[in-house]
Amino acid sequence: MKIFKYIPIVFLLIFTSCDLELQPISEIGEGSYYKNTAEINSAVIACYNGLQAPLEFEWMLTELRSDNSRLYNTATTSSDNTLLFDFDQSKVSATNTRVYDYWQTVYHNIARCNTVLKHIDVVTTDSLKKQYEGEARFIRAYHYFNLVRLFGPVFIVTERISAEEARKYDRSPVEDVYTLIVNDLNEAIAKLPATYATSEKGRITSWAAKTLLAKVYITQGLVNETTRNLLKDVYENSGYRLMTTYESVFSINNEVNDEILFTVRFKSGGLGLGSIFGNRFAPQQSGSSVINGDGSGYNYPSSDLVQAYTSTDSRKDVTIALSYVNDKSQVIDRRYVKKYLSPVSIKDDGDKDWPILRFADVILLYAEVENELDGVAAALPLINQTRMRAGLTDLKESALPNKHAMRMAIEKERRLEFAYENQRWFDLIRTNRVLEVINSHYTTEDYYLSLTGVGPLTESSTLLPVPQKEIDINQNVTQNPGY
Amino acid sequence: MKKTGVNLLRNVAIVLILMLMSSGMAISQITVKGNITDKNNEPLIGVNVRAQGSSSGTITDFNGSYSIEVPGSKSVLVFSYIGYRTVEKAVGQNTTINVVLEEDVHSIDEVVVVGYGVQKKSHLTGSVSKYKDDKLGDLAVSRLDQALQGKIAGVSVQNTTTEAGSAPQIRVRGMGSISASNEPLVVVDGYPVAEGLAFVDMNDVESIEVLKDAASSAIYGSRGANGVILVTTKSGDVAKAKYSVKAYTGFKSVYSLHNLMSANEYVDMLLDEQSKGGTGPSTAELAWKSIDNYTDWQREALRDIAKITNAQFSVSGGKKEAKYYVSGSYTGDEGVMIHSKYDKYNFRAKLDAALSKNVDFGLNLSPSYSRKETPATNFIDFYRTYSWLPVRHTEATAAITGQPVGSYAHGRHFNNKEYTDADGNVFTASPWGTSNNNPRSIMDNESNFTDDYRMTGSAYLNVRLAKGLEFKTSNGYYVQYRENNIYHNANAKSDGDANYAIYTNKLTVDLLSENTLNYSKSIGKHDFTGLLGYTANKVTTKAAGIKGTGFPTDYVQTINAATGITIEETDGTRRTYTMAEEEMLISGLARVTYSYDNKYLFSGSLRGDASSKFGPENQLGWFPSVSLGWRASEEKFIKETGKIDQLKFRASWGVTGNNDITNYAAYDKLQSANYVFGSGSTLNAGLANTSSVLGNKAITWEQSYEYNAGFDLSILKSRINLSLDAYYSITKSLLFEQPAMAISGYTEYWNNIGKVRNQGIEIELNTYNIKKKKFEWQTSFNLSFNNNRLLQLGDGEERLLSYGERSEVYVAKVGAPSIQYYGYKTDGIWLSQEEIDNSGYTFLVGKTVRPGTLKVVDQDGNKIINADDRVELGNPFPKFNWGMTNSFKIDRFDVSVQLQGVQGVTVLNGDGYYSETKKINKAYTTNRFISTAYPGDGKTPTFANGDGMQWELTDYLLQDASYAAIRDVNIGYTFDKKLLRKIKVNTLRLYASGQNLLYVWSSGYKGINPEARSTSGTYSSPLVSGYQRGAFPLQRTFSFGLEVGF
Repeated sequence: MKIFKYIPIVFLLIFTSCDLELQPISEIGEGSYYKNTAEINSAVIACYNGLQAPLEFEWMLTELRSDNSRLYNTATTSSDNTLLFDFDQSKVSATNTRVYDYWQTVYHNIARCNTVLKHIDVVTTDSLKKQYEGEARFIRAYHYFNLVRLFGPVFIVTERISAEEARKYDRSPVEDVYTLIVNDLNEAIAKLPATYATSEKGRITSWAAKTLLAKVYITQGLVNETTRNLLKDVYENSGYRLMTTYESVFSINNEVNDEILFTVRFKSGGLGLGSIFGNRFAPQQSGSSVINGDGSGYNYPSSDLVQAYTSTDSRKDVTIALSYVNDKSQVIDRRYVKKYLSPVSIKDDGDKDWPILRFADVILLYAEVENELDGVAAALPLINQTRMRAGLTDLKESALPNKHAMRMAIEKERRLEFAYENQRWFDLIRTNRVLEVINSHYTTEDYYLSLTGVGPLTESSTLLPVPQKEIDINQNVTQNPGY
Repeated sequence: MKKTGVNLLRNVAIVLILMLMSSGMAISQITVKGNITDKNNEPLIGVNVRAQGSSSGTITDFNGSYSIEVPGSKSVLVFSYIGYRTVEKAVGQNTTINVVLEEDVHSIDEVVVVGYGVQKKSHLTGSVSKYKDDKLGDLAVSRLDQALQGKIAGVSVQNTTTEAGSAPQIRVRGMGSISASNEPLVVVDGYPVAEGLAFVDMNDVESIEVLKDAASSAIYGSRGANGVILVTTKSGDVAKAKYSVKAYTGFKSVYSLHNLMSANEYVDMLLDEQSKGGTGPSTAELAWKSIDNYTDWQREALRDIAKITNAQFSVSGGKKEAKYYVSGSYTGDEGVMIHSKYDKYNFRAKLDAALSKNVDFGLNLSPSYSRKETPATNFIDFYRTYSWLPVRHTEATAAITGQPVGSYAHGRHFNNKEYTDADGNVFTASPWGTSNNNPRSIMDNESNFTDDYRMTGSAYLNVRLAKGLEFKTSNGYYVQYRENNIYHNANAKSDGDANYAIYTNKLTVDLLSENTLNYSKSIGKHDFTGLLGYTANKVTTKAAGIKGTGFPTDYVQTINAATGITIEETDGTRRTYTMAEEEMLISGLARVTYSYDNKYLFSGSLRGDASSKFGPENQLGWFPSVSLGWRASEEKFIKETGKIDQLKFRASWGVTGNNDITNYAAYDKLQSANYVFGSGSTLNAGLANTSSVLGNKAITWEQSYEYNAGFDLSILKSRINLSLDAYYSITKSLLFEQPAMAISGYTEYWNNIGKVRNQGIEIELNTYNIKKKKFEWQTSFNLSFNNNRLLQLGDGEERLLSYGERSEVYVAKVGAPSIQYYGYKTDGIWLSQEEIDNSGYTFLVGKTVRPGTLKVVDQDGNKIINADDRVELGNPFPKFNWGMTNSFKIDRFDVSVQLQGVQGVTVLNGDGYYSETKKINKAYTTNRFISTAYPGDGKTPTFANGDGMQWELTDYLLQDASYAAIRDVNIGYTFDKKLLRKIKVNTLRLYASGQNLLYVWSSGYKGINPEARSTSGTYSSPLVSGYQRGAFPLQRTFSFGLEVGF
């Protein structure tokens, strides 16, 4: 049995061949990626993908705080509901986790954009390099534009940073954030193509960048020739147009149509790219009468908005429904937002895109600028385009005695045209009308009258708080006043 | 460069092994024979006989005879037998040595299993607890870990849920890590196996040793930081085949339930409150009463009597050349919740054989299969359901709702229906706003089964290379294949729910090779032993999953019938996938022990581990230990007193590590982040780090430095045995998934930061109170105190906040326990509007303040109630744990009573979050505020419908969860052997046992199970702990069993 003596040696020899450097098998490490054009393209696609997540919360921070919608179900104190109460009734606190969810998903996608920009130099094809850079800069600018309007001074992060570095950042003044946005958009305008092949439709064009830049300028109060020229250029030369009917803008059979300059796309089929909004906004306890998998009843249309539509306005039926028919053929009176409703086979897996910039927006922004620069008559033919498509009669100059009257007309038109596209709150902020409109809404909408502790919306609560979690990590971060 | 450490380890090992092997091998053998008897001249069977310094040994046969070959006349034979004092005899010129062994009242010379070897308890220098109880299998629990509750000082076992087959939470000497695992390493028969305690059958257990201090566990290096639990299973003896059958059956029922109001009682209470100025019932609530139905929803979740059965069969025996132990067992355990069930089949076969004089060989195989059914609904959904809702529509509710009689009744059926009040007035109301189905229907319409197939197999070869030098190689594998099948019927949770099936599987293959050289030598009064070893471990995990949707019928539930496949959920959860992970650990280990004159003991060990979990530069960790012992009782001056049987002082220092974090944490990994362009028909592939975690290449071993000092004392002829240990441990470079500011794009990142201190005292006391022929009384008592402090958080940081499921906050603050509850301190409630107005406070949180809501203390005195007013509110760590077992032998009866408890522990009771709880649970409504004129006890807040400060963010839901329980009472009767012989039975014992016969908790606790804790999701982070919600009720078990040997 001498042979056993050699066993220890055999085992040692086996082990000397072990290798301990194990790389992930089912995922790739970032260090070994971003080496060529195709890999950067996949990083850019990830930026588009990252546009979806913030939308889950954006309506809470915009529509729900505005006079467009409210909470339907006040009886349950489920965690979702209590958080939503606070948006609806202007009582948001710094610990509201939905505020954090939005903040975090937006900054996450900003990091994806920064990843593209960090590695952009590996792209060798010049046209693609420009395009990818333009796309990443546009998406980053879009995110910052939302952040600055919701939170005021925010952290400017333009490169990939480590967790340690993040703690050294401070909030930047609003002007600096706008400087970044304008700079990114100008770069995007210069670098993005004007059109794409059909198979690439939905990628960001220079026209979208121009439109967003014009909107940024108007929000900053820069209503001048530069702004007008941007909008005029898009209006006249982009090739985008108003669809003939309002309904066809949102048809799932013709997505990314001629009216869509920039949209967040969703795709059903169990791919992880479905839209949740069909279910979120469908009436609660409606079973599969409205959409498979029941609804949550969120973003419940206010009476005020319902009444704002005239009977002939074709936009109303596309945007909201007032009732549904249940499985027992009974008509249930329950309002809900219909714009994002498309049939699903499983819950939360809808197909409908969420438009961000439409040609109607170009027209109405253009009208706004024309009104300010050249007066009511110059704006009138523009605003009447969307009115006409909606089946309304033209506005007459006689009914609009001054620029202010036209501003009000545009405000209302925008509300009806873009209802539930998360524009209303930003419009009211931009025109500095938010306190007046929302506080009067609290006194006129019946729903609020039965509640205690609603509002008021104050100057300070027009800005959302910096999420408490961020301040908990870095206590030197200053909070917005009033929180 | 990067592999230097690993190579170094290898080279050192090669050189040392070659050196040792080249030592001489010439041996002259002598055969020694003899008989071993006890005082009464009865032969002792199975006495261990071996030559000192060698592991070659034998066991006495039926006649008490042995025969052994020893190396030479200088050899010393050691005779050891459990329960008897060990005797050593020098061989000299004798070829026959007969020995009479003396009985030991309490055997202090027990052999204790330690890492990679065994040691005499008397020579142990570290802190090792041994637990040995042949009645362990009597406990009517389905898992070994559950059976260990309260048994061992310093080992806390908490049954965080009473769901059948669930793993309890085990902590050895408190919590050292914050993001890495705190689970102790479980080693079954020398083989580290994750979940080892889940599948070893209790009846197969010979003994359990727990290595508590770092000096003992450092030999397991990397994985020893949380303590090591060594399970040794039974082996065969040299004897004729012994058969044993054990079986019991038990009946479980709930210990207590929530005290809930019926819908009618509740409405009556509101009406009464209305008359006192309180808010009366709403229309919806008035409808509750007019429905006039009573369903006890808690009972709907429970079995009246749940059954637990266990049967085990074993056979063991052997000849000198081969010994065997084979057993098979079945356990069927029903939870008290319906659809909670656990079935387990175990098999174990152990074979030890001598291939030649110098070569031993052994095999240890243990396949097992278990199936666990998990209920689809938490218990909380039942005690949140109002009693007016029937499970299925009755005639009366069918009339109200228009639903068919006998169909499931759901809250929404009652919406917008007409109700008639006591006065005959008809009104329309919607009594309950939930869209969910009733919980019983959800439970019956969703199934969740987990099947585990496990197999451990190992083989060892032991070669005596030279005198005192042995090489042992032990190689084996642990394979676990787990399948989970979830099926969700159409409309299971709510109307319009599509049916779906989710299938996942996971295959874990854990390969281990351990190779050790053992050397021992005695020169005069000097005894040396040396150990050198090399181990390699590789774990490969492969998993796959698929989700099918759109089943045409719920009768076929396998995915072949699905009409659609979900690749990814909209929330990003991957459903259809295969994936794989690997992990490796290569280690070298060494240990030296030295004793002089059996009085002065020394032990030192060193282990080097290289782990693939870390980046290439940081894989290697070194784990040294040193321990000393002094057997004072061997000193003349103590021996002469004759009063002390054993007194030993021990002191140790050691370093252990922890690498138990997710694989590949060093890397930023990219996952798919796709998008569609164009018509949307093709998917464009995107990649990004879509997780919320940033990798960190710099992470490395977490290390614990622990000091331990203690003594073992036996007096009064070993009738009183006391062990006391004090320890002090510092864990450094904590592996921590640290929160990152979201502006970085990520919310956590891996880091090595901070320091945690654990210090404590453990006491184990065993006494033989009475030892008469027909009456024996023995007590064992254990008590452990642990104190945890966070000493440092890195980067000069002072505190770190973590969040639970309700945004309740937990703080890790330097200088305080690692976890503290953090939130608003309350001072009762606001009693009147004047009081609120007079306070002059501005409320920036919990804004809608009204009388009857919680009154938050303005900590900073600035009259503004906001996040700055949050303070530390207590911690979830217990002050001490204790357990006590009293065993009696009264003639043929044996009785044991085990008491166990935890003192000074605080729990955050998440049940108080729900409005249903606030409404109908009497624990929260009794004496509550009604109006300023009727303030109740002035402390209990009113149901405020979301107004004022949320309860879960304050100290209001912090409750004292201390408890004491009569865990187990066991009464057995052993039949007279003489009688049994007539029916050819060797032994027969019948027993009955009861668990949780009495369970008391503090009056401040408002739940039904003070041990329950949430441990999944957010609560799997060790920094978020001490929260319970929806706890399953405690259960009381009565069981009856028998044990037959023949």
